Parts: sequence; structure tokens; C-alpha cells
Amino acid sequence: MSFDNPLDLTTAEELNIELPAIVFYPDSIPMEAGTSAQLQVFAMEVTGLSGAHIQINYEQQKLNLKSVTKGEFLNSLTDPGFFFENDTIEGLLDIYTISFGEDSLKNVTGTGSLAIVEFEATAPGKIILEYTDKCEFVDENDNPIEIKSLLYGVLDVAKKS
Amino acid sequence: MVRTFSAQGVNCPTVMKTVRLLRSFLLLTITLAIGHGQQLAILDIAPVEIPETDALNLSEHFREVVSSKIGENIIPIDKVREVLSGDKVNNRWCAEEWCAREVGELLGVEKVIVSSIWKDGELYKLNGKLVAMEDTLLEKEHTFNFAGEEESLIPEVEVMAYELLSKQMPQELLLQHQYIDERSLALQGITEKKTRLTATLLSTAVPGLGQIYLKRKLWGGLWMATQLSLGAATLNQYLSYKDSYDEFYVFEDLYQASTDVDTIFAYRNDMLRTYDNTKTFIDQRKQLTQIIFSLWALNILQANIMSPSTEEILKDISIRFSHNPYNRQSQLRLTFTIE
Repeated sequence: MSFDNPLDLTTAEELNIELPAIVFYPDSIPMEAGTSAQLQVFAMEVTGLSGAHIQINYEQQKLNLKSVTKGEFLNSLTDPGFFFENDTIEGLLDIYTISFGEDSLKNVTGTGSLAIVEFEATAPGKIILEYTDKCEFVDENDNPIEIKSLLYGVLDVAKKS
Repeated sequence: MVRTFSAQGVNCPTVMKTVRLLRSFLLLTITLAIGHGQQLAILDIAPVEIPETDALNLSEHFREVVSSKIGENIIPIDKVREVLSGDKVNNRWCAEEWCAREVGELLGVEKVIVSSIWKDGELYKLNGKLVAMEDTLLEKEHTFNFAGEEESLIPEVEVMAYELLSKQMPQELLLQHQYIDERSLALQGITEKKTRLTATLLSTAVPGLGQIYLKRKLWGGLWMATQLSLGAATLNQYLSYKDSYDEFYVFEDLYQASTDVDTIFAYRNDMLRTYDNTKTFIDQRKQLTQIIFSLWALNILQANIMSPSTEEILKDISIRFSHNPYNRQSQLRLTFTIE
């Protein structure tokens, strides 16, 4: 019996994972080469979050970015501000998202999805997706919120049958 | 020279001739009558390891049964013995087919019965053969081996008579034969071994069945009821285990699919609960299974121990055969003794 949901707070405590953290959900996906898989970028147990910059490092030789859409965590009366940049040479995906309130930025607390990314695997193998140190959280006053843990994701790509 | 008698004009030589003719005719008739009416010769029973006098007495009884009770015409024994003691036959006793045919030819009969009684240790071996002179094959053979008293030879010799002549034996004699047969098996220890083995095997197959076979119905019922109850309880435990097992995997799927931390926490607890339940049901089922197998072994042991001894079996046979409706006496008794 294993409790390996990456969003399980009890498991995080048992594994001494400090919070807040950025995680992939799911954190491991089995797939075939030539197919696509979706992962969500989750902010875990963050307090007063208004905006985030997420940078994901991926193996560009083995993965093609198919799509990036916004998550629901920063939703308010209006959709959150959301855009992304994909550097296919370096294999870096930058995602920027911000929550808008009525007169000011809105902030959220807890655990939620910031973005949904979809990758297509072009080659077999275990492909790691990592968050870089350039990831940032800020509150409504643009004060940085410390991100204590960055947990990677794995795409377990098998040969095409 | 022929002596003549003159009597009122009768021609005496003619009379004498007529008398001679009548006498020859009478002798011929008698010979034919003997030859035609007495088709069966019964030789004395050949003794092996029993006194000759006993064999002769039994032979007498055998012939008595064949002639009086069964109603067959038999050649007088004197004539038979006369032939056997003659130069043409080598042995006083005859129990084989070849000498039966030899004697039968000399006697001019259609059928011959030869037999023997052999005391081999504790066993009496009785064998009889009915030889038909016209057939090359043996018409009938009867063999019966038994352990028991010498007195039992008397009814068994009677049984042999009925069997060889293919006649239906009286019910009382049949019961005597059954009694001797059952006692024989018991005395040789065969019945005890067979009963014990059967009871043990039955209890091995179905708890309590061996006890029922031994007529201990209360014990048999108790074992059956106990094992059935425990079996039902075990089955119940298995079904509960299966439900818990399935439930666990349902909660696991829900846990994996959930992205809400509170829901994840709840499903985690459900997984732990159903996992513990599954383990508990497995442990309980193991315990019950151990109890079932222990009791099963105990029931087999009891069936083995409970099996009657030879003494008990002999007593049971005596009781059973002393209460049959065909026996006028209150206890089965063999009325003849061999002097």
C-alpha cells in the first residue's frame, strides 16, 4: 500500500517536504512515444498568492510542447492574467499567471492548479520535468513568497507498439 | 441232465426254461434299475489334517442330506468303497476330478461328487466338485474357507450339498452359513481392519461420516454440525475479506484521482481502514481454517479409535444372529457334534 498522490499533505510531512511547494500532478505518467500527456502545475499550501512565474526545464529532444492553459487556482471575478514562453532550443517553458481582483490583485491561499501543460513524447525513455530556481511566487504587494520545495515530474515513455 | 417234475400234464423242461428266462429278465431289470435310478455317486470326503473318523461322519451326513433332504438317488457307499478298495484304484481317498472320472467309469454312474476338508492352521478349507461323466468340463465346484469351530463343518457340508446340486437351501441353513462366514471374517481380524479402515476413510472424506458408519450417530452429527458451522463462518470471513479488498482499491483509485487536499486526506483514511479490515479478515480466516483442520484430524482419530475390536464384533454378530425370525431357538446353536 503506498500513498503517492503528490498533493497528499500527510505524505509530504512524512517525506519531510517543506511547504509551500510547486509539484506536478500527476507526478508520473506512463505513456507511449508519439502520444501526448497532460500535467498540472500545482502550488501546494501557499498563503496569500497573487502571482506566479513558473519555469519548467524539459528535454527538448524528446518532448514537444503541445499546449499550455491556465489553471483554476487564481480564478476570481475575472480570469487570471496568463501567458507563456517556450524556448525550444534550451527546453525552457516560462509561465506567468496573475490574479485580478476588483481594484487590486487578488490573493489565494491553499493548494490549487496554476497551469495545465501538454507534452508530446517523441522518443522513449524516462523524461524528467524540473522546476528551475527561477520560479517565483508573489503576494498582492509584489512581495516574494518563499518556495521551499520544487518537486519534479516524470514521463515514462515506452516505445510505440 | 434236467430233472423233470410231473404235475398234472405240465411239460417240465418248458417250465424250467421259462423260469430261467424269467430269472434272467429279473436280474437284468434289477441291474437296469440300479443303473438307471442311481446316477450319482458320492465319495467319502477326503480328510487333510483332520481325523479320518470325523471325515467319515461328515461324509455320512453329506450323503444323508443329498438323499433325504434334496431327494437325489445315490449309489450305496458300500459299493463305492468296494470299487475304491479294489486293485484298479490306487487311493482310498479321492478329491480330484481325474479320480472322480475313474471311479465314475468303474461304477457306471452319470455323476460323481468328490470333496475334501483341509485344516490349514486355524482355517478349514472345504472343497467339493460335481463331475458329470458325459462332459469334459467340471459341472460345478464349491469352495469355502473359514475360521471357526469344527462343529461348523456340519452345516457347511450341508451347504456344499445344496450348492453342488444347484438347489435352493433352506433359510435357516442360509443364516447359519452367513453366521459362520461373518464369524470367520471377524476371527481372522479382517472385519476389524476393514471396519476401522472404512470408518477412518469416511471421516477423512466427510467429518462425522465415519462415526455414523459406526452407528455413533450423535458423535457423527456433532462433528458434521461443528464443521459445517465453522465452514460457514470461514466462508463469511472470506466474503467480508473480498468486500474489504475491493473497497480498498476503490478508495485507492479515488485517492489517486483527487486534487483536493481534504478529499485526499479522507480517502487516505478510508484506504487505511479498509486495508486493516482486510488484514483482520485474513487473520481470522486463517485461525478458523486452523481450527477446522485440527478438528478434522481429531474426528479422523476418533473414528479410528472408536472402531470396534474383534471381541466387540464377535459379540455383535452373536447378538444379531440370535434374534433372527427363522431360527426357532433363542440362540443360534449347531445341534450336531462330530464324535
